[in-house]
Amino acid sequence: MGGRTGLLASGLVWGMAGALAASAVPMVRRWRKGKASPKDMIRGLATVPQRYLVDVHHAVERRKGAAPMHALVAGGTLAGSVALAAGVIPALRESRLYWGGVGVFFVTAIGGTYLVWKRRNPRKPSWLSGGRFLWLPDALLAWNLGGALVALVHVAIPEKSGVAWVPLAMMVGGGAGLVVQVARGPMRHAFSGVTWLAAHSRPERFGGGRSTDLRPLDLAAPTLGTLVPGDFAWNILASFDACIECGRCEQHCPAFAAGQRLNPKALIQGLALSARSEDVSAYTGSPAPHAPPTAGKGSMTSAIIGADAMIHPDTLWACTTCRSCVEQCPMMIEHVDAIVDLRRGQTLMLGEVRPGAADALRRLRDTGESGGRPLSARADGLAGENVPVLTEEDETDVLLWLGDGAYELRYARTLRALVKLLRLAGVKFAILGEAEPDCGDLARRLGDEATFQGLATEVIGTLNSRRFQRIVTADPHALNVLKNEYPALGGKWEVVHHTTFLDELVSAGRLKLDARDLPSVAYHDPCYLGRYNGEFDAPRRLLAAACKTTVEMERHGKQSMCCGGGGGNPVSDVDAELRIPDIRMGQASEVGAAIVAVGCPGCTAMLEGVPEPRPEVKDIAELVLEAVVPA
Amino acid sequence: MSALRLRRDPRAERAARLVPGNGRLRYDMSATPDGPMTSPSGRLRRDPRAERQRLLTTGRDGRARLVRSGLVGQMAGSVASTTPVAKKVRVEQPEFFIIVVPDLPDGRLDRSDRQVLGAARKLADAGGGAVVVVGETVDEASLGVAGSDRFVPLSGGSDPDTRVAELVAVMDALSPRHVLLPESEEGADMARRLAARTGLGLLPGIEVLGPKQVIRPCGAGRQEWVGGLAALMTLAPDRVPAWEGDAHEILPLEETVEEPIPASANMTVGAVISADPATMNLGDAPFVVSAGRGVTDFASFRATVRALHATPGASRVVCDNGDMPRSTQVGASGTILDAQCYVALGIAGAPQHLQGLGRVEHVVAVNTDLHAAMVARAGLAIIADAQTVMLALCEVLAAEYGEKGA
Amino acid sequence: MKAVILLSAGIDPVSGRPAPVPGEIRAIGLAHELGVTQMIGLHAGPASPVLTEYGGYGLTHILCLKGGGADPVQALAGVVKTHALFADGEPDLVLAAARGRGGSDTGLLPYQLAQALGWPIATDIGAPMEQTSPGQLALAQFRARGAVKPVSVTLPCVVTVPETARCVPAFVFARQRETWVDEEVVTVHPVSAEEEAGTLRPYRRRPKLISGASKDSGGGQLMVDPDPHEAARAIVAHLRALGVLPNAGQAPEA
Repeated sequence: MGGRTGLLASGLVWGMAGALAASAVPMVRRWRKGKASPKDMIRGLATVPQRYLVDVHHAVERRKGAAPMHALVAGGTLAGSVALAAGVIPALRESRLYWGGVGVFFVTAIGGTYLVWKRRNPRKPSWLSGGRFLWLPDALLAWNLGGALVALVHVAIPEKSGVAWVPLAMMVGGGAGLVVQVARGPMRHAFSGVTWLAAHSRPERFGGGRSTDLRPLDLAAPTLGTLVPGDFAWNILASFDACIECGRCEQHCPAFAAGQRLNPKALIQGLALSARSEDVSAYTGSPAPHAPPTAGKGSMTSAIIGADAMIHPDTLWACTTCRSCVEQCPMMIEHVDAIVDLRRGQTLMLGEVRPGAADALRRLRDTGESGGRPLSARADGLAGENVPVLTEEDETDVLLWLGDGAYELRYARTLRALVKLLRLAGVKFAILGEAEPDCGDLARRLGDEATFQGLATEVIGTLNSRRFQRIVTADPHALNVLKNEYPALGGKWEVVHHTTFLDELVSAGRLKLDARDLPSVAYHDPCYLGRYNGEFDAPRRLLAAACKTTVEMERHGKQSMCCGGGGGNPVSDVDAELRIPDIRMGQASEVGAAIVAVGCPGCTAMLEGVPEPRPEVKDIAELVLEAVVPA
Repeated sequence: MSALRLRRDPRAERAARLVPGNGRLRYDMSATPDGPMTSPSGRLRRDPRAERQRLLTTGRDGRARLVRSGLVGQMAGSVASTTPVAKKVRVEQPEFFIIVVPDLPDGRLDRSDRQVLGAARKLADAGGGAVVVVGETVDEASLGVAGSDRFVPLSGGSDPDTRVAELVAVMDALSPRHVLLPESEEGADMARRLAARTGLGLLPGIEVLGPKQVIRPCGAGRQEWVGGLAALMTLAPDRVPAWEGDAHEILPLEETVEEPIPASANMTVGAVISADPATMNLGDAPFVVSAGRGVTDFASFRATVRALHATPGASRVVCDNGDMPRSTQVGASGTILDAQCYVALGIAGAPQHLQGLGRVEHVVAVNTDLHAAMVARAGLAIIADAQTVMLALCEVLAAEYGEKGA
Repeated sequence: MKAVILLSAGIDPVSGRPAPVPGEIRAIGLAHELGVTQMIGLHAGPASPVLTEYGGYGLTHILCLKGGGADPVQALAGVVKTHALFADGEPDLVLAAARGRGGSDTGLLPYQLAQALGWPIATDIGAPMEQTSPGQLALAQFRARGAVKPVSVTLPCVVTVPETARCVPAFVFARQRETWVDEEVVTVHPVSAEEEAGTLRPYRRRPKLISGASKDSGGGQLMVDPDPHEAARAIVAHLRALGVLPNAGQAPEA
């Protein structure tokens, strides 16, 4: 006879499972107040193990020690508890082997609990939250140690199992603590995380895929974008609850680094707190730097943004939409989608945009150009190159999309280099000339979907009336819009970045390069080329072929840091402590780069705006042109 | 990893530029001691100052000119000698009248007033007409020099409707062929009030005035209208030259002007209130003092700007760092200036920033980099630490103006 | 207060695309600042899509007078005086841009309308001022270099708003899509059709007379590493020579 303590321990696990299930009910009820977004939950849940073990794990293990901690504490606690729950079967309770197994699981979990404790001790790092996290190791320890001791008693002295009352009491205390952690504390991420992984808004991202396009908005909908938490879809509300406040987003956010009133973690927590009608004081992580205080209150039906609400408006406009936070988030939360939804609400429903952004949007509406410059002047920088303009009658292989950087003298130099390279390689190409308006990238990132769709309609109409094989652009923002976002509105063409295209020409032998002996060159990945479009290799291959010495900055590839030029940040006049491009150029100097190679007009302008002394900024096209050998 | 960066040594560079000789130290700034400056990738750096010196020549009016086409020497034309002639032109029995209503700010003809008189003179001389100036008190001698033949004074009230009534009375008495005004703030308003009151045709903002046809912009400035003259016309500034011929004599008017019946004033306009330079809109400010990266102490910067009675400005970097408010940012993404004078303290002059200097007439630059674009644009350039010079400037101003000015 | 905002079908000067006129956008903002409670947009001409953009700036009811283009003054005055919209009382204010953009751009129409209505007209009004007496409107007339002239005008009146006014209302797409554009056919009898015959052609940029004050184009005085005080004195002397700094002893009032 295993005694009553063994059965009681099993019963306790079942009771706790029941309590946890009951705690999920209000959570689900709350999510259902969000907008409907039909998801096949059965199929979704079936994919969760794979999504968790592959994609989530991949992100988790990027921080040293995080994956073992998780495996030990979550694996041990879950395995021990499930095994203990199985103890309702009398036969098992008789077996010392069974109790031995239970004990091993719980001891493993104790090891994990130590790792959990170690994260915040002796000192809590700035990116981690405090509050209920601080006694989480205590609850885990009580539960797991209790479990281990119960098992030990049953292994060592089964005849005196009565003494297991003491560890059982520990388990009761620990279990109660864990229920509180799940129902009202950070451990809710266990349930909400599974739900969010099953009902993710961008399932294409799992299994190494990519999904970065902003989704079109129905401009006839009663509410455009998000004003109150209830305007988010139910699964997005679940994603906010899934945030475990690990602070990786905060560590990688360029705006946060520059002191720009945005902390992606505080933002997601603010959204979760609003939806839960909790006070901002429940958030114990670091706040958005220098953000003016707000009332810090919210509910499912009250405004999120505003000095009298939860999140200060300055926070929204500081985002450069670089997707670094999204890339880092182990729970695969879509911060940028949330920010753009909130911006859409502010812009379209309230007209609350920064003065600089309002001017740019007005010019886009009225002139089709963000600077209000004549469309005929876009190609002025190429005047000496005699690039043909593609009319409806003509036909060409490559249509060169110039983008709004073309108005700047500096970027025109890049374009001239690109045009010369295309000539050298014998490519047949043309531009749209006056028929090229703004592609709408800025409007869309600022949340002005109406202006974006207006511009998109115009561009798609123009492009559909021209005959060409594919579009090449030196502007990754235009690339992203043309390639990823126009298809949903009816514009489908093959669009490639100039580095991809030049790389093709070099591999095909149409351009021959002789690597030059320059001081070391570091490549700065543009967010909209790298994270948004997965192009990391072509620019590096070109660079390796054109320059002898190349170096990598610490943050490169998917982890690359933004130049500060995206998402309408420059026109939104965001106050800061530091300038994002200064930080980025500092990183280039740290690795001894004398030249920073770029592939984006935004990056060029931002990085060249860094005061000297700083590395020189050169577009890859310019470096390739200098290295080209006449055939 | 060894990044080769050429580090400049300003002291050594300056020493290399020392011109031998005793007495005062003199430097030859056109000498480049290190040979041509190059960037890490091998691009040659330009020396705009030296280039400018090579192109500099003296124009026919004795002013400095730049000849970019390389035709130095051919530009120095003859200096026209204009000996003043004492005789004054009298127009005694005019065929018709041309009325000019100048703005007369501070009781004097301003630049655009003179241009309107020049236009009126042109129209009058084409057919033996006389030019009648109607306006508030003014120095009559200057009217004659500007080409006027008659002067009719107005009462000078602050009610625009009364002024219109007085003008209508003059027009009734003289039946002028044309009434000309400047398309200035006051002139434009008065011309339209006259047009609405009299129902006469109005052609405002004329850019080209001929004896038979005028050209004025319309259609948001994308089109121009070409047609015959109208009874009422206003002239855009700097389109028609002022009268430069012989002075005319102001003769008394023979016609009598009836006193207009006083109407009840339902509008009054008060005296002009000038903007406070410290708070005025940067784009309107006539005198802007701007801080760049070379300035570190912003409390002293604000004090210096106050002492100069200027409007504070700043470069993008300074605004990004939050040292000055965003509203003070000068440049393509900030405010485009329309100032008479711009003092740039510690601003190198990035292209974006220089775009903000659109219509600025005079630039003073204080900068450590001789090659800075701002130095090339400046009428007075000081190659020194901006922070130190700024503090010295603050002291000098305090000493000169005392506490009152500081 | 009740206000009518005059709208023209303007174009953007750079692109030539239809676009709201800056002064008219600011007129909507000024009306808000003056505490106008009821606002109606009036356009002498047929309805056009660009008009709904004014709705985004807060003018959500617009009345178009089809056929009124032949004599806009008559058509507009007729509506202001007798339209059923104003059955419970005439509007107190008619606001218009100081200049249109895209037509003859003379800026004459508001003056003619004021004349036809027998109302006073206050022009280039960029902001309200502190209101002192009822029935009068205290307004700030904007002048060059940020200067302001106080204007007092009797209601009802016509007010024109310059592009330099800073009262730009926020643009809200949600309001634009709710804008209600009415079209009514009006009959006007143009009294005089003796418009000066002229021709329209694309604008040609012509050189202006050179201003007396020459622009610094560099190549001026240069001081390298001077004593800071010497440099400061040189700056003061230079600024005095330019006339931007008064002489010592006559410091302007701070």
